[in-house]
Amino acid sequence: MNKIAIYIHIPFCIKKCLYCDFFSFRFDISLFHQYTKALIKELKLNLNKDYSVRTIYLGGGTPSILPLDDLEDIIETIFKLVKVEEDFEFTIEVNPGTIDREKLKEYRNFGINRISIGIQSLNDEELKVLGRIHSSKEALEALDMAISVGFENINADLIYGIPNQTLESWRDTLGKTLKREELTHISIYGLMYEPGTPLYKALINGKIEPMSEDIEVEVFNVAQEILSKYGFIWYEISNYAKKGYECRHNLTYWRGENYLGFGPSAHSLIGNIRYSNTPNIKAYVELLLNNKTPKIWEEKLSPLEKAKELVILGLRLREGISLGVVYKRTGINIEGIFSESIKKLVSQGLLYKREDRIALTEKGRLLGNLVFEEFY
Amino acid sequence: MRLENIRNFSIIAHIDHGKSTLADRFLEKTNSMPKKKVAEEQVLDQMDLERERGITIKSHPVRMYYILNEEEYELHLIDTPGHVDFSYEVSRSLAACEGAILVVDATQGIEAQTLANYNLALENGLVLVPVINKIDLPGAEVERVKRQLIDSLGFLENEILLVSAKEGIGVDELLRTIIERIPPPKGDVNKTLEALIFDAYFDPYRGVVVYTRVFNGIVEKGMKIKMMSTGAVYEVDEVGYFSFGLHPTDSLKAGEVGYIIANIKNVKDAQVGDTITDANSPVEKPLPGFKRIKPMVYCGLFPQESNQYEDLRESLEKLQLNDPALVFEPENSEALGPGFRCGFLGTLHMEIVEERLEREYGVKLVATAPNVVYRVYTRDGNVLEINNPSQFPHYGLIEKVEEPYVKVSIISPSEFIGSVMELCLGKRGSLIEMNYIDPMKVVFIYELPLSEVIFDFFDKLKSVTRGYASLDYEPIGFRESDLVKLEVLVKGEPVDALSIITHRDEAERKGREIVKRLRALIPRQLFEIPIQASVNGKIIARENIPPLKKNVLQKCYGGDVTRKKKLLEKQKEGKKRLKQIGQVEVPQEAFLAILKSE
Repeated sequence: MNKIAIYIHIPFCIKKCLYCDFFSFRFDISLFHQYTKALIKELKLNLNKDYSVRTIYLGGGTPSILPLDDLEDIIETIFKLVKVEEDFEFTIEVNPGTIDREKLKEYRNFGINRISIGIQSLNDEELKVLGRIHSSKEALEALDMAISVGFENINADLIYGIPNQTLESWRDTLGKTLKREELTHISIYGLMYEPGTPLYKALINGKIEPMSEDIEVEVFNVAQEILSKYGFIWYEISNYAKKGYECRHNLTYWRGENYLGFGPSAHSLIGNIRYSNTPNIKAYVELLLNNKTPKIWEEKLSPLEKAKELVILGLRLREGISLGVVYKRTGINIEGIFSESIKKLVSQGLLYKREDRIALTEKGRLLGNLVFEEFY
Repeated sequence: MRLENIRNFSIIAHIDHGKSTLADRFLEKTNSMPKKKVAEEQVLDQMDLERERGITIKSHPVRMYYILNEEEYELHLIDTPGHVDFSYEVSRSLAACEGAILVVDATQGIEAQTLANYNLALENGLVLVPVINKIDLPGAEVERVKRQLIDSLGFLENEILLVSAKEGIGVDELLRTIIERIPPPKGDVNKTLEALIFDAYFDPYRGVVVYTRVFNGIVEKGMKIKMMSTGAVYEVDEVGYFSFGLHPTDSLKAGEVGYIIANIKNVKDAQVGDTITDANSPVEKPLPGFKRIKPMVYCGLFPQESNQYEDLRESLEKLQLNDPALVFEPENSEALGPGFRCGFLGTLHMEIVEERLEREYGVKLVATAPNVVYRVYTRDGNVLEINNPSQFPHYGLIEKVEEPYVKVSIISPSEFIGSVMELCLGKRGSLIEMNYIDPMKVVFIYELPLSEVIFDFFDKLKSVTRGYASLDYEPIGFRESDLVKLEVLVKGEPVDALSIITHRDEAERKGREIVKRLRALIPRQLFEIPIQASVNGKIIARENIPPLKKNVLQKCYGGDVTRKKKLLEKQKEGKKRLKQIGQVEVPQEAFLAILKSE
C-alpha cells in the first residue's frame, strides 16, 4: 500500500493579486468545465486502489471559484479511484470574496474537513496595496461563516511586511483573527517581491517602500508573542498551529514524503523522482483530452541530493531533522560530509544539535537561509 | 635596394583620427595585403584586445613596394602604439624613421595626442607630412583645421594634404608625397653595425623576435651581435623583413627596417631603445635616447581562489616574456592572501594585463586600487621608494614624502575653460600655460600629481567638457607633498589592501566617502561591523553595518522546492566571491571602492 498526499491545482482567480507570481488564469467560466474534464482524466490515468491517501489539498489559484458541480465531480472521482485513510485530512483554500454559506455547507458535505482562508490582512488599505478582491469585513465574515457551518479545522493566511503596514495594524489584524477560538492554524508569510509582479515593479520604480528589516523583525516578534498567548505553537518557518492541528498535507512536503500533484504546473515526488506538468492551462487541457500526458519535466535525485533536500526541508520544521533517519532513507552520512558547516552554524548560534537531530535555534529561524545554503 | 629608394615612416595621430584605416589603404594601394586579409579592417592590429578597444598596443612594421616614375621604392611603415602609457615605445619607433605622417581628423581638429606626437616627432628630427583626414564627412571643417595646423604647428598651407582614408581619396598623392618629401635613410653599409631596437616579441618556438632599424653596417646570419645596455652577446639565426609575418632575407643593411632572431630567451634582453652592434668590433657609443622603462603605476593582483596562485605566477611570467614593462613581485596581503604586486606603464597597460590574465590565461583576479611610487625620506636619513601603501612607514618616522608629477596637456573647446580649470585645481594642479589653438579651442599645460591623473581624471575631464577634451601627459619627476596614509579598519582590524596614500587636505573627505561606500558594499552579517577610516592613528570617519536579522525563504511547498533550491544556490554562489577578512566577508568590489571619488 502506497501512502500518498494528493494536491489538486485550481489555477483560476477572479483577479491576480499584485504580489502573486503563481501561474493562474483569469476567471473564465467556459474553461472550468473543460478543465475539470482534463483534470479528471489525469486523476484516472494516475490513481488506483494501491494508493492509500492521507491528505488531499485543493489549492490555487482560487479553488473556491470552481462551480460546485465541477468540484463534486473531481472529488467523487478521487474517492472512487483510491482508498482514503480513516482520519485523512482534506483541505480547500478559499478567497473570502468568492464564498457564501451554501458553498461552505456543500464543501462539508463533499467530505472537506479543513478550510484555509486567505485573510492576509484586516486593514482595508493594506488589502488594497496587495490587490486583494475582498474587504476586511468580508474576510472576517468568511471566517465566521466557516465556523458556523461547522468546520473544526480552520487556517487563516496572514501577510506581514506590507508597505505602510504598522505594528498597530498588525496587532489589530492578529487580534481580530485570533479572537475566533475555533481557529486552529495560522500561516504567516513575509511579503516577497517576486520579479514580474506589479508589486515588484512598484518597488523598483520607487512607488512603494518596503518595510524596514528592523520593523519586520519586530512584527515577527509581536506575532510570536500574541500567537503563543492564544495557544499556537510554531512548527514550521511560517506556520503555527494549536496542538495536534499541524497541517499534515504540508508536513508531507517538508518531510520529503511522497505526493502526487494534479493540474498545470503541479509537481509530484515519488521516492527520488520528481516531475511536473506543463504550466500552460490550454496545453494541459489539450494534452489530456488527446490522451497524452501533461508531464513535461522530470528529475531523478541522487542519494546525496535527496539527503540534502531532506535536511533543508526538515530544518524548516521546529522538530528539525534526524540525521539517522536521513541515513536510513538515503545511505548518506550528512554529519560526515557537513561536519564543518554544522560546527560553524552551532557556534554562530543558528543551529542546535541533540544526539543525531539538528534543528534551527530561535535566532536561526529568522536566518534560515544562512543555514540552508550550507547544505548545498 | 639602394638607400635612395627606401623610405622609413610612421603614422601619428590622436586616437580615432583614422591612423589604422589609412594604414589599411596604403597596404591596398601597394598590393601588400594578403588576399584573405582584405575583408578585415585594421589589419595591422593583431590582438583581439587591440581591435576591440580600437587601439594599437604593439608596433606593427610592414614593408611595402610602390612604383613612382618607373622607379621602385621600398616603404617601411611602422605603426606605433596609440596611448600615453606607451609613449616611450612610440618615441623609439619614431627614432627608427626619417619621417611621419601627422593625421588630424577634419571633424575634430588638433587634439592632445596630436600635439604630444608632433613634439615627439620633432624631438626625433623627423620630417612631418600633415594630413587632414575624413574630409568626406558632413561635419568636416577643413578650413578650420588647416588654420590650426598653420597657426599652432607652423605648417605651410601648401604642405597640407586632404585625405579620406575611408573613401581612398588623396591616398595616391599621399604616397607620392611620402617619397618626395621624406628623405631616404642615411647610413653606411661599410661601417660597424649600429641598429636600434624599437620593439620585440616572444615567439615560443623561435625565441625573441627583435624589431630593428639598422643605421650603419649590415647584420646577417651567423654574425655575433652585442646588446649594448646589457653586454649580452648572441649569434644571429635569421634576419628578415615584415609583411604580414616574417620574411627571411640574407641580410639587413644600413637604412633598412626588419627583424633579428638570435636565440634570445627573454624580451628583457632585447630592451626597446637599446643599440645592437657587432660583438667583434663594437661601436663606442650607443644610439641616443635609450631609457630603462620604469613602471609608473602599481597595484596588487590576487587570485580569487587561493589555489590559483601558481597559475597566476605562471601567467604573469608568460606575459612578461612579451611585455618587459610589466614587473611583479610576490606580495602577501593579510586581507587577500598571497598574490603579486605588479608595476605598469600606466592604467591602460594595467587594464590590458588584467584583462589578458583573465581572458587568455583564465585566472580570476582581485585587483587592488592602483597607486603611484612614493619617495619617502625617513628621519634616520634613508630614502625609500614605496609602491605599496601598506608599506608606507609609520608617520612618526617620516621626514618628508615626494610623489611623481606629470606635465599634462589638455585641449578643450574654449567654452569649457572654467570647468577644466576648476577640475585641475581640485586635483592639486598648477597652470603653467594656456594658449588658443584657434578662437574655439584652447590648450592648457598643467602640472599635476600623477596619482590624481591616474584615478578618474580623464573620466571627469570628459564629463565636464561633454566629451570634447583630450588629454596627454609626460612625467616630470618627483615633488614634495603633504601626503598621509589613510587606513581602513573593518571591525577594528586595519585592512592592508584597503589603505591608500592621499594628500592631507583630502584625507577626511576621502575617508568619509570610502567608509560610506564600503557600508553599501559589504553585506550585513550576523554581527555589527564598524567601518572606520584613520589617519596617523586618528579615526576620521566611521559607519556601522548593522547585523543581519532576517533572511529566510517564506512559503516553500511541493512545487516550490526546485525553484527555492535555485535561489539558495545562487545565494551560495554569490558568497564564494567574498573574501574573508577576520570574521567579516568582504566582496571584491570593495577593494576597488577606494578608487572612485564623488
